[in-house]
Amino acid sequence: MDPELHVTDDLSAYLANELDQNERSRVELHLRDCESCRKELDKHKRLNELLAISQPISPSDEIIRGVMQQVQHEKKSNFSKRVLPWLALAAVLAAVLFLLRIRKETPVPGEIVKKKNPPIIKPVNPAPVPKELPQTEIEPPPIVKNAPPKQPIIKPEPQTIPEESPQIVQQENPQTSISSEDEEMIAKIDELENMDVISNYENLENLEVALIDEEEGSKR
Amino acid sequence: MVGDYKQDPDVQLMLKAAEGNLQSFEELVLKHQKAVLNAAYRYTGNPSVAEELTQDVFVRVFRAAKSYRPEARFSTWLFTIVRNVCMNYKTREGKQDHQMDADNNLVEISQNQENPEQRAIRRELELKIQKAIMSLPESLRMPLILSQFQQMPYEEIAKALELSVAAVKVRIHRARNALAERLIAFEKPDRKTVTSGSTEG
Repeated sequence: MDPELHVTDDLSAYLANELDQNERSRVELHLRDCESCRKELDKHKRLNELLAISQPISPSDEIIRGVMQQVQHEKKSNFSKRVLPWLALAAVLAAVLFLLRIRKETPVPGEIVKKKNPPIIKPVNPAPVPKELPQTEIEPPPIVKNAPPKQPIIKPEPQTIPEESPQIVQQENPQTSISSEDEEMIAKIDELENMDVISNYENLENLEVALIDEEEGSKR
Repeated sequence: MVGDYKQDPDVQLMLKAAEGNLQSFEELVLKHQKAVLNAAYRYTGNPSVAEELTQDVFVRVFRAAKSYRPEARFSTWLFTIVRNVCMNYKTREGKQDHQMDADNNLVEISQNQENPEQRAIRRELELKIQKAIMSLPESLRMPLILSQFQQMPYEEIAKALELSVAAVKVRIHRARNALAERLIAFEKPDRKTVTSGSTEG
């Protein structure tokens, strides 16, 4: 038999079922005719029997205990390694901010300390605010005798103002003095309003003319 | 190929462990500790050292969990770590292998229906086998251990040891020839009766 055809190098793989079908067939065909390779195969089979004597050892409980202890310890220390630098940084930042604030609040000798504006304090019993406040109450229209009658009085839609509105309280000018003539005018407008005379904007011009005529007539 | 290995239940456990699930990690350790311990034992010949190395292997597995990618079976990846830990141990301890002490290191495993004489013969053979394994060169020892005692396919061994399948085949065959030379050539005919067919996993 040609020694190059021997299959001795494949026998370990053959016994371990690591050959594909073609290689396996080739080895088996060769083994039928080659006594030398058959002896070699017997040797490997015997080796398998001997190696099987060597029994596996069993792990003690110490392995799992030791591993889990170590792992838990590392997990904790990893957490500390991740978190501690951030905590330290936060502490440093907090300290710096605290120091900056103290420095800002401490006046330097010779420095002019700006006084803060006192907060606006609302009066305890504020004057009652009318729910509907016509614009004319704030700025009454100037009524001049010989004024051209074409200047219209624009009356905005009555605005509902919530009670105790601080804005309105601010808008109110307590020092605004209303003359007796103006008061009369306001009263008349109110009266006409109640009569639904000025509910329509188109009638505003007529209203103005009527008022002026009435005023002139009363003066005469 | 990544998707194929995601079906491996061990890969699933490992991915959970990577998310910090210690229960999954513990399950993995319990499942594989015997295989790792025995590979380390075959490699070092010393059960105490094998236990230390086994712990080291699993701690390394935990440390590497976050970078773990399921590109192979979990056991393949695990035995890559086993190989590295064993080789590091060998480097650390010097090039000398621990000489086996038959009385101290050989693990006692009781066999049923074994008389004292058979027991003594078996122990002697086990010692001889372990010495023969440890006499193998480094390059042949781990491929033989993974094939013979872990029943790993050649392809998995090749991946675990970062070798070609052809190289694994050659190394295992050389290792087996070396063992056969040491164990069979001087075998006494009357001791052939002691052999049994058990394997480990």
